Amino acid sequence: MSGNLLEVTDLRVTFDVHGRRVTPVDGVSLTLERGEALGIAGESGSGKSLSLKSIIGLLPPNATVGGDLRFALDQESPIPYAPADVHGHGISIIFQEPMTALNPTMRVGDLIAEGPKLHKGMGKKEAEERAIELMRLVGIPTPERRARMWPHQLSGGLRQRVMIATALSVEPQLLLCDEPTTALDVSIQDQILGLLQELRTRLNMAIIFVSHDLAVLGEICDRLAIMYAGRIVETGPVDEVFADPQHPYTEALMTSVPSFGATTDMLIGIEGRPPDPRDFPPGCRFAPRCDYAQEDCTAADHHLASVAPGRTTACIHPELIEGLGQ
Amino acid sequence: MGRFGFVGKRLLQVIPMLFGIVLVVFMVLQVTPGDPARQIAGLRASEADLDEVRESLGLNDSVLEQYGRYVGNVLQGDLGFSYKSRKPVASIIGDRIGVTVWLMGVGLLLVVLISVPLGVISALRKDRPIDHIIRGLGLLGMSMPAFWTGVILLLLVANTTGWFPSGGFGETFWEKAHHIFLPALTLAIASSPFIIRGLRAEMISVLESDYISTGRSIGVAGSRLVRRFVLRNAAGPGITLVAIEAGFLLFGAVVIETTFALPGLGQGLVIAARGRDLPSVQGYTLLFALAVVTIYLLSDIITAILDPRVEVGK
Repeated sequence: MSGNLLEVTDLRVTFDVHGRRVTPVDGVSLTLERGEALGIAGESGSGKSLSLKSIIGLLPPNATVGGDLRFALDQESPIPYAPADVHGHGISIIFQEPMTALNPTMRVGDLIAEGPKLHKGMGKKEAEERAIELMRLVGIPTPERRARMWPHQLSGGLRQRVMIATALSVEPQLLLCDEPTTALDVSIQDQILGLLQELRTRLNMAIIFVSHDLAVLGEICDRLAIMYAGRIVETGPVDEVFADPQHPYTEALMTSVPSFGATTDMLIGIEGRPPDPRDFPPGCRFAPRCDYAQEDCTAADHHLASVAPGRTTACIHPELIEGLGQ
Repeated sequence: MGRFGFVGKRLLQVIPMLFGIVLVVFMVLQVTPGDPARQIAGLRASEADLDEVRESLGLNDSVLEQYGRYVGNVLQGDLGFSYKSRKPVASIIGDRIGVTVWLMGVGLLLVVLISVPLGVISALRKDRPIDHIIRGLGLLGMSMPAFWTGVILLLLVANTTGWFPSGGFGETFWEKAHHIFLPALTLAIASSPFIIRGLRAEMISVLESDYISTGRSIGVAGSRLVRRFVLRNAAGPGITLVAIEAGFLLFGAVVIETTFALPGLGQGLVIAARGRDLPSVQGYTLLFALAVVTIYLLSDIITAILDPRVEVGK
C-alpha cells in the first residue's frame, strides 16, 4: 500500500494575545507518503514546532487551528480527522526534553504499558511484557530491571529511548519528532538518530522530524521543508536542497552551519533577527534580511512554485541565487 | 533505600527541634512576671509558707537544674500541676484532647472533601465561568473570620432549623459527630479557600507540563489522565499545603471552641491563660507545638512516599 499518509492544507495556528490575533503558523501545506521521512528546518520561532503539535492536537487551549488535516490510518487515502482522534491511533510524538516529557511519578514500564492497555485491550501482565519488549526494541539494556525504575533514575539518552518506546507503544504509522536530539550529548544524539532510522525501516513508519540542525535532518530525512516566519519557503529532496538551494533563506541557513560553509572557514550568520509573529513584514517575509531582495519582493504573494520535479520555492527570483561554492 | 533514609533523616531532625520547643516553653515560666509560689500559696501566705512552696517546687534550684528536671518530667509525660485545680496538667489535657482531635479530624476531612474537587474542577475549567465562581466563593470564605462564620452558622443553621446543637459535646459516637459538625464546617470554610487556590495553581502547572502532552498523545484522557498523570504529581505540594493549614487550624480551634462552647484544648488554653495558670499554658503550648511538628513530619513522609524524586532532593 503506498500513497499519501498525511495531507495538511493551509494550516494556520492563531493565538489570541490580549485581544490581538497572532498567527505564528500561517498557511502551511505539506504531504507525506507512507514510510517517508520529512524534515522541517527553521529558526526558533519559525512555527515548525507549532505546526507539528497541531498535527497531533497538542496546542495550548488558547490556540485556534485552521486549515485541513487529513490522515490515512486504516483507509486507502487520507480522510479528515480531529486532532484528538489520532491520540493513541496512528500518530505519536516525541519531544525535545526527555527530562520533562516523562511522568515523574510513574515507573517507566508503567508509562510504556499505558498504550497497550488502552488500545490493544491488553491486561496488566500482558501490557507489562509488551512494555519490556518495546524497551528491548529501542535498545534499553536490562529492560526487566529498568521497567521498574523512575524516570529520574535514568540518563538523558535512556529517557529519550523510553519516550520513543512510549510513542511506539501505540503502533503509530507516523512518528512526529520535535527536536528529539537537541537536548542530548552529541554521541547520544547519533545513537538516537541511528535508532530512529532503524525503527523507521523496520516498522515502515513515516517520520516528520523538526529541527534547526540541518546536519541531523540530512542524516535522517528523505525530503526537506524549510520554514521561515510561519510559512514553508522551500521543499525538495534533502540532497538536492543541500546541493542547490532555491531560496535565499535556505542558502543563508546552510552558510551559517560550519560543515556547509564550503568556500571559507568563516561562519556567516544571517543578518537581522527572525521577524516577530505579531508584526510580519509584507510580501516575502525574508525580504528585509535577504541579500538578493528586489523591489517587487515586498509585494510578492506567498506561493510555492515548482522549480524542478519534486522541488518548490517561494522565492520569486530564484535565478539570482548564486549557489554555494561559487 | 533512599526514601526511607529520607524519612529517618527527617525523624532525626525532629529531635533537636523538640528540645528547642521544650526550652522555649520552659523559658515562658522564667520570663513571666509574677511569683509562682505566691500564686499557689495565695495572697495572704507568709514568707515562710512561700519559702516552703518554693522549696517543694524546686524553685530555689538553679535554672539549669530546673530545666533538666522539667525535661525529665516532660519525657515521662509529667507536665506539672495546674495552679488552679491542682490536678495534673497531663490529665486535664487528656480530658480535653478528644474534643479537639474530633474537631481537627472532621474539620480536615471537610477541608479535603471541599477543596480537592473544587480545586481540581477549577484547574480543569480554568478561566471558565465555574472557575470564576469557585474563586469568588473562595475569596468570600477567605475574608470571613472564623468566629463570625461560626456565629452566622449558629444563627442561620443551628437556631432556625434545629438540626444541629448550638454548643457542647456528646457522649456517643453519633452525638459527637452531630455536635462537631458545625464547628468543623466553620473551620473548613475558613481554610478551604487557601487549599483550593494552592491546589488549583499546582494542578494548572502540572497540566501544562510536557508529560501531560505525552500522556494525551498516547490516548490517555479524561479521568484516567487526571488520576494517573495529574493527581499524584499535584498531591505532594497539596499535602504540604494541607499540613501548613492544619497548623493554623489548631489555633483556629481556640476561637471556634470558644464560639461553640466545646470543652476542647482551645477552650482550655483560653481558660488557663485567663487564670494565669502557667503550668497548664505550658502544657497546652507544648502539645500544640508537638502536634504541628508531627503534622509536618507526617506530610513530609507522605510526600516522600508519593514522589519518587524526593530522595534526590534529600
